[in-house]
Formats: sequence, C-alpha cells, structure tokens
Amino acid sequence: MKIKKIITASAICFAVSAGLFPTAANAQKNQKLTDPEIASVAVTANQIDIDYAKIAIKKSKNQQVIDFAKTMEKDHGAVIDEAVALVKKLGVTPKDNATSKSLNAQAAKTRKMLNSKSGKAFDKAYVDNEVAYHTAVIGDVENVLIPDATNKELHDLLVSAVPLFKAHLEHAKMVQKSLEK
Amino acid sequence: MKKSLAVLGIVIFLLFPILFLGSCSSPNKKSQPDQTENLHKVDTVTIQLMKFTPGELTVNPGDTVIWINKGLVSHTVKSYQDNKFYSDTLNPGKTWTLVVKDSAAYYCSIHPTMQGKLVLK
Repeated sequence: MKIKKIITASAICFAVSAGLFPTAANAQKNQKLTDPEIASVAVTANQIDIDYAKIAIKKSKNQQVIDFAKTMEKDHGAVIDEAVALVKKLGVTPKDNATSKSLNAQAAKTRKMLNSKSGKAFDKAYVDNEVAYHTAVIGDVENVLIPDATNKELHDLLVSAVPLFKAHLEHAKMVQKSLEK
Repeated sequence: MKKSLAVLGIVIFLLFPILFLGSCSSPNKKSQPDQTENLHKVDTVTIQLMKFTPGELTVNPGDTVIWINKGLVSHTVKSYQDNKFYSDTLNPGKTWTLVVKDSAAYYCSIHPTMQGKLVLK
C-alpha cells in the first residue's frame, strides 16, 4: 500500500517536473503572452479549479474534502470577479490563446478521470490533483504570467493572487495528509 | 460716596472677566479623570496576502483589537481553544472587533494555514 502511494506521488511529481501538465510555460513555448491573453489564461485556470471543486462537492462524502472544495469554488470565483472587473475597467477583452486552449483540453481529461472514480479513491484523486494543479499554476503565474504582464494593475492582481494559491496548496497538502491516515 | 461707588463699579468690572473665565475652565478640570480612566488601547490586525499582520500582538486585558480584511477573499478569525472567540465571515473590506480578555492562538477556519496569536502582557 505504501509503495503504491509512493509510486502515485512520484508519478505526479514527475508529471509536474517533466512539464506534462499543460502549463503556460509549455503551451506558449517562450512566446511572450499579451495582457488580453494573460487575462484569458488567468480566468481559464481559475474556472478549471472551480469545475473540479463542483465535482468534489457533488461526489465526495468526506466533510474535509467538501469544505476544501467549497473554499476553492468561492476563492477562485473571487479571483475571476477581480480579473473580470479589471479587464472591464481597462477595456481589454480576454483573448483565447494556445495556453488557455491547452489548459481546457487537459482539464476535460482530468474531469473525466475524476468522474470515473468514487468513494475514497475519488477523494484521493481530487486532492492529489489539487496539489499537482496548484503547484503547476503557482509556477506559471510566477514564472510566466507575472513577468509577461505589462499593465501594472494586471501585474499587481497576479502578484496578490500568488499567496492565495500558495495557501490553497498548503491546505490541499493538509487534506492529503489526513486522507493518508 | 459717589467716589466709593465708582471704585466699587471698577472693581466689579475688572473682576467679572476673571470670575467668568474661572467658571468656564471648570469643565476641563472635570474631564481629566475621564482621560485617566480610559487607558485601554485599540490595535489593528490587517488580513492581507493570506497573513494576519502582525502575526503576534501583545495587548493588555480590556484592549480592543480590530481585524480588517484587505484581501481578495473572505476570512474568519477563530480561536483554537473552543468558545473563546469566532468571528462571522469577514468579506473583503469588512472588519471584526474583539475586546481581549485572555491570550489566545487563532486561525482562519476557511484557510487553516493562516495563523495568529494574541499575547497578554
């Protein structure tokens, strides 16, 4: 059982480190993102996690997992609201791009995987994915979106979102640890 | 006789402003005890970038602490020890006030990695 957990954790770590998640860095391949594209990626990445949370709220029976998912739904919704308010203020239209398309394509596969599981296997799959997804998103926001953002307000919104995503990651790890018991 | 009346009138005229000012200054003397009675101070803890700042606050019993949420998302302020204190959900821009009675470690029940401490002098 322990070996199985180690293999699963190693596989997720490998997937993240090897760039198998469709992160902004991989999808864009060193091409600088414009502000409308960054806005689109930010909204897409947050919406994807809301969609995962909705599945968890519906399927999980574990109160800790449900509470975590409700926090994800509410917090990422708040970030989207801020991003939408900012793009309206700036008169910018979020522009669909290779990164946001790639994120959506991978998310569809993950949702299918989550929907195929139930019980404790679902809880584990959801929380493991939250750890991996937040790790990947934090890396992309810090290394791609923030450096590429030219508008100061968009840049500042991304900077202020990083501690939120890091708190989510630590929270997900807490839940992950409690599921192992 | 006329002369003494005139002198009396001058004396009253000169003394009147002194007596009047003296009566006006008496409320100030009365307000002094109020200033010494109200020694409790008010401190603020800012919730921003997923942190309580300051993370540890030293206070006297009876001091007031105001938490203000300057973050992107909602938070709470809950003592680890049951029944000490638990705020309502603080949406962005909202505040919550507590008169401190005891030392307490606390956290945000929505984001349990956010922690703070109140320490009595």
